[in-house]
Amino acid sequence: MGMQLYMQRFEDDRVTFGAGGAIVRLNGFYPQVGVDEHEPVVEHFDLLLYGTSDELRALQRQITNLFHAARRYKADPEPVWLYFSPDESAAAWRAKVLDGGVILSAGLDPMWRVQRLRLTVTVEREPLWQGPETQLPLTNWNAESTLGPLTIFNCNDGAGVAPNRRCNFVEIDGDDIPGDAPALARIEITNTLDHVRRAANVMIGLNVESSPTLFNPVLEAEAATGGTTQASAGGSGGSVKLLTWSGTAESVLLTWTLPTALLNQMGGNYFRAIGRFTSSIAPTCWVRLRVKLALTTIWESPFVALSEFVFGYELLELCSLRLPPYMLGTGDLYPLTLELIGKDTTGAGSLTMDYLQLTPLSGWRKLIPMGYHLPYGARLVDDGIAGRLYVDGLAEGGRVGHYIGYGERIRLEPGRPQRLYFLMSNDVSSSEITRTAAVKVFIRPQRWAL
Amino acid sequence: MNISFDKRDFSGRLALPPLDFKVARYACSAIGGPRSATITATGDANDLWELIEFIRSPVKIYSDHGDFVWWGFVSEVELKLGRMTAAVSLDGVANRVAVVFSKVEEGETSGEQASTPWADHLISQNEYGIRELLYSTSGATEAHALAARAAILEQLKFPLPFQSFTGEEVEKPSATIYCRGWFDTLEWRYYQDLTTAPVDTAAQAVAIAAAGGQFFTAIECGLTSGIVTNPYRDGQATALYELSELLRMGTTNQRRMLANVDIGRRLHITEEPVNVQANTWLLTKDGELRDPFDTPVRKDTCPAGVWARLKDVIPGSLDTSLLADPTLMFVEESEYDVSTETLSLTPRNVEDPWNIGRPKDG
Repeated sequence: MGMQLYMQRFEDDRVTFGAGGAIVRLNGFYPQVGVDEHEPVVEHFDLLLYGTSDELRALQRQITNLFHAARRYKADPEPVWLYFSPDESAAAWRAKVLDGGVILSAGLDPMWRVQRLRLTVTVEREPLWQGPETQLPLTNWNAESTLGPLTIFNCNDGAGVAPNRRCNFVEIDGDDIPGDAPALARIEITNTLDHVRRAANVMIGLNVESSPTLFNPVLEAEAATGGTTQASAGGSGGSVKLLTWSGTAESVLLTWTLPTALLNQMGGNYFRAIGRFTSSIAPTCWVRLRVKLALTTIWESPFVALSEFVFGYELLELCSLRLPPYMLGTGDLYPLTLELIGKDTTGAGSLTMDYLQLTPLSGWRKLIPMGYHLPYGARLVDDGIAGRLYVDGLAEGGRVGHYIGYGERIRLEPGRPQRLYFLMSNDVSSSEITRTAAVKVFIRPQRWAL
Repeated sequence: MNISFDKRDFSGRLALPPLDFKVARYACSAIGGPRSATITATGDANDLWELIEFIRSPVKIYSDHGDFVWWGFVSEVELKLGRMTAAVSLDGVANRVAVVFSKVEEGETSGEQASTPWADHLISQNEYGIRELLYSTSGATEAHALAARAAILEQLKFPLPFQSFTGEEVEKPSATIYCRGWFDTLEWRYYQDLTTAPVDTAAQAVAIAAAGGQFFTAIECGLTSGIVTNPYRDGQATALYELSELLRMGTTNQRRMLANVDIGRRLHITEEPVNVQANTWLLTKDGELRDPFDTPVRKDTCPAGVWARLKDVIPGSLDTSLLADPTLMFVEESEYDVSTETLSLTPRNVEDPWNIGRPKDG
């Protein structure tokens, strides 16, 4: 069983450092194990080339041209890769080549006369090896372990029946992710709501650390004390809450209990608090979140002016917070309360709230269009593998890069269950709970050593 | 970390050229909130040149937790290309100019102080905002002063690019984007109030901020200082100077007033927090900042305007009764270095080296 070792940018410029033929690999190849994702690895191996003078020059040129391309295109979606597998039966894994060169041996003259050329190849590469791309089976309340695409909604109240049961997450089985380093992911989101209103912003949160198979990030407003529950077909759980206050002083609008079980799941990790507000909001209205132990405030966010989010979408990010706000591990955490505080600098006011989603921040991605948005049938591809973000599936065909991505590209942990949560807004001030999308996830697993 | 740049008129985001942006550092202050930030960009030289057009663009920095950690505007862009350094800066721009002079007519040996009316360059003001310059000169006629005003306005109406050349060639093209917080823009306008009826200093601070804060969307001040003074200002000092003086004067509670500009460009004027245990943060001898629950604070939030107490550093036997508490510091400013993930804290009453020698009045 022979080793596989070759370098290429595209298949037609592949150079194979084989055990036979015109390029023979001497003394084997022993890839180093990197320890830091940001520290490249430098390796050497020896080659013996066979051929006429012209053939030797051409072979050497092939190798050096690839290194020129590696230096030029290392930030490109199509860089140069070094492929390696210890045996030929398994698919080769690849590492991005950043730099390199060849050093000719001291015995150049006598060897050249017998139509041989010995050289040492030096390769500088990224430390992680990437495996072949695979699609991940996904699970949620609409299907189990499907290659999908899998339907998600814009709320998590569980209403309806599969395959149209309302949930906004996809779950990934950690056993489906090989490797020993977080895997690069390509997330494909297709707008499946046939409606004149297009999809716009997409927020994605990854939960690895906060009991992903148990944790429900949505706190319904009607589950909190305070306010007046109103039936609403457009609200998650079939209702929303009317919140009112008088005067300019701050008022407690809603109070949720955070029980021990929920705090244990949260485990002192970070969450992004995103509120869904279903009424128009006065530009002088401010809210904050406050965590309390009985009557004592133990954490509070700064006040956030709801209307400062100039695009006017109903899904409004309030703050990032750690829950519980102290790190005592899990097990017997005392229940806390989470308050939504509001005030209006001009006096009495009201607003209507549907839910508060505490989006886990094991990973966070926010995708915002520059305009045009995402029409029905179009697909938004957040490709962390190739480092691209684009839309395709438009009526006119082709791809367009009119979305901007914020946050680190999502990476999925090998061997651990995890969930991706999605929230979407549309191209006017709304985020319908019935807005649907179809999700697929692909990965390239990564390893430090092969 | 991510960065977003908006259009100068705040109407939407700018499309970023395909460059590799990295946040190098940013700082926040108890007076003003976000104070300064430095961003680097590398990539193709043609794409780097596009950054010149980002002058005065609003900028926001997101943490990996999805929240904004710094906001302000681009004040300078510096490119390094080969042996050349090219830069464009808002410093020195003046698109509204008046000249103060001693009016000495022909045949006279001295004269009284006079000033020309303000002259505006509206195109520059529409693009970058109003940047005033009150230019002082001695002995001049009115015609001379008017001519000087026109010449200065013409020379300084737009950001001036400049280039320099060095002996060493840079390895790869790069750009450095220097950003400032919105509170700094109070320095762009002079403040005048010719009334003399006494007014609470907090109300005066609101008036100054309203007059000089052309980019503020609102001013929030829920306090009265209890100190009433004459609000008269001759208009020869900037709004920043006048406001800073009033904030430093403080309240009848013997505490300063603080100012913070939030993500929505709202200026909040508050009283400096009182030092009580419930809201005092903790500082370890390694310089790590922790909240009152002894939980490490996220360094990238760059907190300022809080009290912090040293944990278990001063021995209990030391007599500190005639000293200000040596374990306590007010975090006047903090700076976060992104590459080293270190947070540097500056306590109150440390002179800012960048303020030494800078004219503040007149």
